[in-house]
Amino acid sequence: MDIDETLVRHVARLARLELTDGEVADMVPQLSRIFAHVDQVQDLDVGDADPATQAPVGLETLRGDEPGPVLGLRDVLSNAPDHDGAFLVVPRFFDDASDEG
Amino acid sequence: MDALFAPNHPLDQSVAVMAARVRDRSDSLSAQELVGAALARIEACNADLHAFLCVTPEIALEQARAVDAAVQAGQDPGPLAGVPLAVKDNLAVPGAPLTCASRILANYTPPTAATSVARAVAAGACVVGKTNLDEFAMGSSTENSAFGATRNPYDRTRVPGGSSGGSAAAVAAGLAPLALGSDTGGSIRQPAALCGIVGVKPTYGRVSRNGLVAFASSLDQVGPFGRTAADARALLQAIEGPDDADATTRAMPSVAASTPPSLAGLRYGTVREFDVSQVPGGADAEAAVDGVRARLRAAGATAVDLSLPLVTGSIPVYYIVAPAEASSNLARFDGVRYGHRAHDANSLESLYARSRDEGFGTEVKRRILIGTFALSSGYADAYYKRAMAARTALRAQFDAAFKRCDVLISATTPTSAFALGEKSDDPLAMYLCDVLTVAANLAGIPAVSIPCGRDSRGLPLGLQLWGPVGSEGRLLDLAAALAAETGLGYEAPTGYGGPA
Repeated sequence: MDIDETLVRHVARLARLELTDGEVADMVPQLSRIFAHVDQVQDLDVGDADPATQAPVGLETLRGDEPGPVLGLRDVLSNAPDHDGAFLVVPRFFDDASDEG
Repeated sequence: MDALFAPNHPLDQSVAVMAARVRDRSDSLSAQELVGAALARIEACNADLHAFLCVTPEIALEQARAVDAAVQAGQDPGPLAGVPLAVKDNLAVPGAPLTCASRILANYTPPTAATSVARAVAAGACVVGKTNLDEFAMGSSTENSAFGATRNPYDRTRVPGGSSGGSAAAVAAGLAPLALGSDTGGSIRQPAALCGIVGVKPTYGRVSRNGLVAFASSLDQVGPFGRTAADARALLQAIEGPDDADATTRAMPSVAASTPPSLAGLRYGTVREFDVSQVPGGADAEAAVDGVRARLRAAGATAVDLSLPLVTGSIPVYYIVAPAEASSNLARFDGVRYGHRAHDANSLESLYARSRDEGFGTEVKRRILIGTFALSSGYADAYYKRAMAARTALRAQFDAAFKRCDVLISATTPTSAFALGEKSDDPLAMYLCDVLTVAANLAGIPAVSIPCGRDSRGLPLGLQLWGPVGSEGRLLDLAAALAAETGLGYEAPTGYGGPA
C-alpha cells in the first residue's frame, strides 16, 4: 500500500481532522510502516470464514423497547462548551440567503 | 515514609482480611482509617510514580463513612467493605473528572457512574482516585498520556506498561489494593505483567461497559487488578453480571471460587505461535513460563502441543479492527456537546476539524487515520472485511484448541518493562508489545496474567492463562493453585507496600 501526503490529507478530511503540514509529513512514513505490517492480513488463510460476525459472542437478547431514565437538561448541558438556555451554541453555518429560505 | 509501609500494615493484607476487619465491629480498623492510609501513601508516592491523574479524598471518605455507618448499624457493607479502589480514568466516577488522559476531555465531569464502579462501591469499595492511561487507552506504555507518563515502581526509569499503567502501578506500589482497568488488546494483562501483579481480561460480555469511554466496542472489557488471584477475583465478582445499560452483557457462571483444581490431570496447551524464545529479548520470558510448565508436569499435568496459525496474524487483524472501531467511536468528539472546542473556528466544519486536531494527541490521530482508511471506500473489503473474516477463523481455532486442553499457557509479554522513551518514536514497535495479548480480545475469551518471577535484570515477568468463554473463575482457581505450587507471586517493589 503506497501512502503519500495526498492520501493522508484525504483520509484526515474524511476523519474531520485538521492536521498541520508537519503532522502530515510525520504520518506518511509511520503509516507506511504500519500498513506494510497490516498488509499481512491479505496472506492469512481464513478459509470461508464469515466476516459478518460483529461481536465475539452472540447477542441473544436485546432489551425491551421501553423508555428509561434519561439525563436532565442541567446534566446534559453541564459539560457543553457553549450553550444558551436549553440550546447548544455552534458557529453560524448557513449564509444569510439560505437562512431566510 | 516508614509508618506508611510498616510491616503488617493493614493495606498489605489480603482484600478478604481487610474487608473482614472493617466488617467486624470488635476490630478497631475502620473503613475511614483504611482509606486514610491509602490517601497518605498516594500523597507520599504519586509525585514520583504519577499513577494517579486525580485523587478523590472527598469521594473516598464519604464512601468510607457510609461503610462505617453500616457496620455500626449492624448492616452488611459488602465484601469489599472499606477497600480502597483506584479507577482507570476512562471510567466514570460521578463528581470526579473523566479525562481519558486527553486534552479533549480535560474539563469533562460525568454526571453518572460507570456500572462497574457503581457495583464495586455498592460492595463497599471506596474510590481513592483516577489513574493514568495512554490517551483513550491507545498504547502499551502509559506514555501517550496528555498529562505525562507513569513510572514503573520496580524501576522508575521504565514504563509500567499500558494502557492501564496507572492502575497497575498503583496496585503494585501498594497505594490501593484493588484497581479497575480496561483491556481492548492487552491493556490490563500487559501492565499487570510488567508490574508483577494479577490482571484479568474477562470474557466479552461478563462486565458492563456502561460508563467506560468506548475505544473499540467489540473488543473492550472492564476488569480487575489485584496483588493476588483472590484479590482480583473479589473485585471481578463484585462487578460481573448483566446490565440493561450494556446490551452486550449476558449471564454466565459467576467467578466465585470453587474447589481448587487438582494439577494432576490438567491438560495445558502450549501454542507454537506464542513461543517468544526467539523474539529479541524474549528468552527470559519463555524460560520463566517453561519453568512453570515443568512444575505442572511434575505435579501430574499433561502437556498438549498446539498450533493456531492465525495467531501470527493477530496484530495485523487487531490494528485494523480496533482503529476502525475507534475512528467510529471517536467521531462523537466534535467540540459541540462536550469536550474541547477550538476558539477560532468560523464554520461548523472547521469547528469539528480544529477541535479534534487540538484535542487529540498524536497516537489517537494516528489510529483514527488507520481506521478511517481501513473503512474507506475502495479499501474496506481488503482491510476491514478481511480482518473480520480472519477474526472469525481465529475464534474457530481457539474453539478447536479448547477441545484438546483445559487451558493455554504462554508468557504475557515478550519482554519485561522497557525504558521510558525507548519505543515512543516507533509506533509499530509499540504495537508489537501486544503480540501475546490481542488474540484473546479478538476471540472474546478470558485471559489472566499472573506474576512469573523476574528476568535477568530483576524486573517482573507475567504468565498468561487463556481459557474458553466464561472460564475465568476456573482460570483464577488455577492461578491460585499455580501460585501455591510454584511459590511465584507478588513481591513488593523496594520502598513500597509489603506482601499482600
